Amino acid sequence: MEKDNNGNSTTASNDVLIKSTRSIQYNNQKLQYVQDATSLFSGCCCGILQLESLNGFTFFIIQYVSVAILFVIILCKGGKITNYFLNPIQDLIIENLFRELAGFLMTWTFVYALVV
Amino acid sequence: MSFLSKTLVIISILQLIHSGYSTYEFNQVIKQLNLKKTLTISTSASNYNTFASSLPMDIQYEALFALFLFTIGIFFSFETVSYIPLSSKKVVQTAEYLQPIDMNRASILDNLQEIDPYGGINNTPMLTDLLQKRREYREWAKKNGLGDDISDDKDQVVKIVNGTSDSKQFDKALDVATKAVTERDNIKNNSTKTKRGNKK
Repeated sequence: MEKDNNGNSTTASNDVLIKSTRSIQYNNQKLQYVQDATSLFSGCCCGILQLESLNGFTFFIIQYVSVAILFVIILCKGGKITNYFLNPIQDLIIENLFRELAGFLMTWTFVYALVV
Repeated sequence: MSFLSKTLVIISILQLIHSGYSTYEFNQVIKQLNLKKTLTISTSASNYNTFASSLPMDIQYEALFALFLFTIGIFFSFETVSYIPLSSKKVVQTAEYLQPIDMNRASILDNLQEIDPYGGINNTPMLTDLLQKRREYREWAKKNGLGDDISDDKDQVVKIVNGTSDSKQFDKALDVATKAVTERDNIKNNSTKTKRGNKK
């Protein structure tokens, strides 16, 4: 809600503010970079620890959710999440889930086979 | 990437490689001693016959510590959004790591730097009004005392057409052009005469 000099709000409550696609792309790029790197590295860890079927997937889910929470805490400081992401839950967790799962699975099986 | 984040990432990769090689060596020893069960789907702890020969704790902690250091290194590699304002040459850092989405907040930095985000398209020569830009430059030059010897485009054209232009290069070019045009006209007229012949 923007206000003019007299304190009256200039945006009505049912106005939709325009979003700049350049900023949305920039933020999603940064998020994807963090998620890619951490998922691949944790796949290597999982292979070294020699975790098996469901244990490995719970490992993935734990690191995925905790990295998302860390991202929000560290990088969105000084503002709300909705300042930076259009649909926070969808962008942070659901958007890149299968992409990171595939990367995790790849490194996990690779390192597991390498180390056994 | 800052120096701190680079060191953290390198250290974590080295830790990972070290722990990976340690597990490989450990597994080789265990296989030779026949202490390992194979071809069973089970938890990793019960892959080994005896508790004493499960994967050692220090290797596990080393791998997890490597993961921890890596994430910290990745998060330290982010820098705040920076820009150079118009009035100075120094880079100014804002307080945010990400760019705000709302257009009224996202265009603050563009306005501070007087950047047109679609400038690559708007400023191509085909889409700019060149005469307008030249007029603006001339007014600005006069204001700042940069010299008055740039004459108006319209006057220049009038001088060339009337043949009273001051510069000699323009006169020479004009002479050459008029000669070429008259020659071409003569050739054209002569060729039409020979083609048609004299009608009687």
